[in-house]
Amino acid sequence: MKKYELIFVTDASLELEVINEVVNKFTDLVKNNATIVEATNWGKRKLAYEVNKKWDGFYTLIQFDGPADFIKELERVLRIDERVMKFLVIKVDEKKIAQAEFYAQKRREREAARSARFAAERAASQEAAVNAAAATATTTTEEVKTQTPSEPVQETVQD
Amino acid sequence: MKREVRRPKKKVCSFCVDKTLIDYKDANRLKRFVTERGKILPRRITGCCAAHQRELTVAIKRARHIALLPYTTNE
Repeated sequence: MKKYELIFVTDASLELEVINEVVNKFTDLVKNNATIVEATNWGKRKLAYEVNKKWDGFYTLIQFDGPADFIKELERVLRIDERVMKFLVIKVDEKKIAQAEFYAQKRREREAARSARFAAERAASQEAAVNAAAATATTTTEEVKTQTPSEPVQETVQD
Repeated sequence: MKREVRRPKKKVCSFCVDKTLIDYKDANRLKRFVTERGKILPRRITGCCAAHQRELTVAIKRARHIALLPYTTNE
């Protein structure tokens, strides 16, 4: 049993019921021969290029675990159905996904730690500001006095 | 006399930095690695390491196959 991924594009110019029928046909086919991990409909999307004079396709993605010889049969059936414009079955590289997941998890942890630290710092600085305000409240009158004469001096320096 | 050689700034592979998966389904991300006409950008421009550039080309080709990316455009 290997992990595979099937992505196929159904002709979106068909009736919605027909599209659903096609999607169900292949999900059932996969379900009967393999175990589905996840099936998602991307819905109608614009194609990057014209296929059979059409510009729109209905994308469906099915991830599944299955035996290797089922793939051949699946591809054969996909090729026969004319309503399927495009399809692709690939073997999923589990190692790479696990690795990416691992680093993504790590990054999430790091970001959480960073935001926690930021929050702590902000709280600390706010606290400090409050304390400083309380401390300077008594000396503000003196500061105002000392600040006002210094301003004109700076201006002359700039000139 | 030693001639001065102008070297461009060394690029770091973006996939090595964020260690994310190169996914053929993520067409928007792959778009950054093709030209406006849909050609795959060379390594000296993408700055990818050899292993990731190899993966990238496979991903782009898969995306083209299922019409998520164009093979070529005429505009």
